Amino acid sequence: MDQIDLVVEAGEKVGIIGANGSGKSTLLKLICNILEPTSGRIWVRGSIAPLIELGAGFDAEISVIDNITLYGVMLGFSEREMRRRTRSILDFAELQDYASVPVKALSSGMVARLGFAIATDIQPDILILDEVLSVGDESFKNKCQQRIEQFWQANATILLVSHDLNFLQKSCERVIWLERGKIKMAGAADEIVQAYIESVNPAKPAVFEDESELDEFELGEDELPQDQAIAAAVDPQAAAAIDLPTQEIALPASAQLGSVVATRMFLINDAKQLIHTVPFRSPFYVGIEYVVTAPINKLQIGFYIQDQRDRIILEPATHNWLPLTGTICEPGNHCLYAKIPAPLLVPGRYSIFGIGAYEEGFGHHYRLLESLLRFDVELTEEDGDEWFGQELVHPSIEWTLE
Amino acid sequence: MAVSIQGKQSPSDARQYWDLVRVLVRRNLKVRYRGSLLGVYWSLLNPLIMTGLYTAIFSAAFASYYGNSVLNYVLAAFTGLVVINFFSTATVQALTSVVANGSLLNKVRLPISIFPVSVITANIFQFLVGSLPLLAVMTLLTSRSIVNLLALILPILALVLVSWGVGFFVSALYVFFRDLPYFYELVVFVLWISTPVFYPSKIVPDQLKSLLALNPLSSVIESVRQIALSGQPPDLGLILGALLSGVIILGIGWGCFQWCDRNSWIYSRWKSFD
Repeated sequence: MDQIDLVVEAGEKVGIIGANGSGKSTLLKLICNILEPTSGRIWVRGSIAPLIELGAGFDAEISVIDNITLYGVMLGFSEREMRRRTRSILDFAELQDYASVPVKALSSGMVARLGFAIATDIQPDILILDEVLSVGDESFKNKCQQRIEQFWQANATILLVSHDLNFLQKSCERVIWLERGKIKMAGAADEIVQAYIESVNPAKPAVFEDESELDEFELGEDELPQDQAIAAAVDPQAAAAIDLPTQEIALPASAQLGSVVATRMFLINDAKQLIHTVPFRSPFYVGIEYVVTAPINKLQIGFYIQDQRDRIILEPATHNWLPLTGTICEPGNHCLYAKIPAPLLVPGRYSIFGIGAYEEGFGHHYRLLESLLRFDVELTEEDGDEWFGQELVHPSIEWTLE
Repeated sequence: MAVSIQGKQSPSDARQYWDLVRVLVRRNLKVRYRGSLLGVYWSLLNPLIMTGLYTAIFSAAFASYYGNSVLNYVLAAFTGLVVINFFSTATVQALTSVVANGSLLNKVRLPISIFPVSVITANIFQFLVGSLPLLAVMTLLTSRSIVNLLALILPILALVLVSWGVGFFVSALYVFFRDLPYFYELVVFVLWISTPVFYPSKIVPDQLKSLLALNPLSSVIESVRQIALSGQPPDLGLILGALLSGVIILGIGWGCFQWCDRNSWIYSRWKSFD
């Protein structure tokens, strides 16, 4: 790390972003005084929860209660204080029934919950959180977010490292962007996050002219001519406020999963035109553009198609059709097309909901669980008598008469 | 590089250090004796069984040096074994303590010395509830003097200081030299043999006697035996000799440990490999 010049005032919430290996954790270690700088100085005033990884201090052999005391004391709290807090920590971590079980018998999610519960229960003046929100199930994540928001209000100083840019943007005033050990940019959260997103997703809106490119569920490198770019990229936030965007959407920052950034989703017909209505008997394509920023081993991507009553009608995912490894994982820009056959979806309004990605080694992650795009399936004159208005789906059913 | 972070003032370091030692000692004992039936009393049982073994083999040969009394041999062997046992267990455990917690040190800011300190403190605790009561009873029975009983604390303090010093030294050294456990095993064995634990010091040739006097454990054992077994009032010269070697060894050990800690850029590089 080099030329880091940084002052964080009491009560400030600062987010730190950057690619893997850019020095985020090293900076936190320096601040916690776990590492010493080879040159330069660091001043820290106040009690700091000197941990950069949840659960780092646990001893797998001893019980949950003993670990709570051990961990708290390592973070600088007295034994008596930790005993007093044990109950509330167990409650928050939802581990009341496991109090005397050795930590090695807990699942990794439980351990993470315990770590988070302790680190935030003791309310240090300066809280350092390194990717804590990537652990646990959805309901616990929500609980964690609420608790962090409490910290927000309690005027604690918080340093937060996260790849959840959406969350950072929402909760931090300032964001520092590290690149190769240096501060690339620092300033207002919105501004920095936006700049960061732009740097990782070079904007490349595209239309597909060449027939052959559009095979069923094809995976291809996105190398399309710039001059055919589609105008009027939809601002996702503004559009969502009024109605869901149609045709295409530039995905917000939260569509990032580790080294995979989904950048754009769109709907096109056989003629490669962007569409917002789909004729009942015409197949169409859902396109997903994504960028792989660093080598990964396995990847699958999927989404939901929901009807107007929020029922999931289809849940297409790449692993049903494409290998998990190979081209899909290679660093660079990719574009996936899911061909939705017809007839299948019955007339009505649909939304594309959620985009999930599953990266091997990171556990199961869904990002962007929200409605993204809207489209309508419409009857045309000639199919007037094919659909009776009762079904949820209308695949072609073969009949035979003998 | 300059980073500055604001918050309010921190609580006292000394209290935290003490709390940490207590918690780590408890963890240490819990992990060590989890599921074990006799638990901490193994630290008494071990020297007792060894005493039985040595007595069975050597008492006939060496009894003449102990006033032709097998009992005297038993007592001498037991006191020697208690001392050498404490030393070897405590320092061997201290040796790996820093490296074993390297990944922890890499993630949580802790005073590094906490690990050898807590390992040795755990051993002191075992000693206090295991062997010390028996040693105290022996002292009272032979000397019938409360002075001897109180004086017994002093050579034991010297033993703790020696173990502490060696523990600091080897735990820091192990960060840099990963061959140390194998070498240290040998060192402990040499100490074991060169300390008059199961043989009378009189049988050692005169040329070697001065060399053996360098062994800090010899003076500790001599002093413990003099106080616990001789029935005479405590010999201040022996006690002071033991304490002096304890202080010197602790000083050297602590100095080396601090030196390694201060040069923490090397240290943290090693730490980061764990």
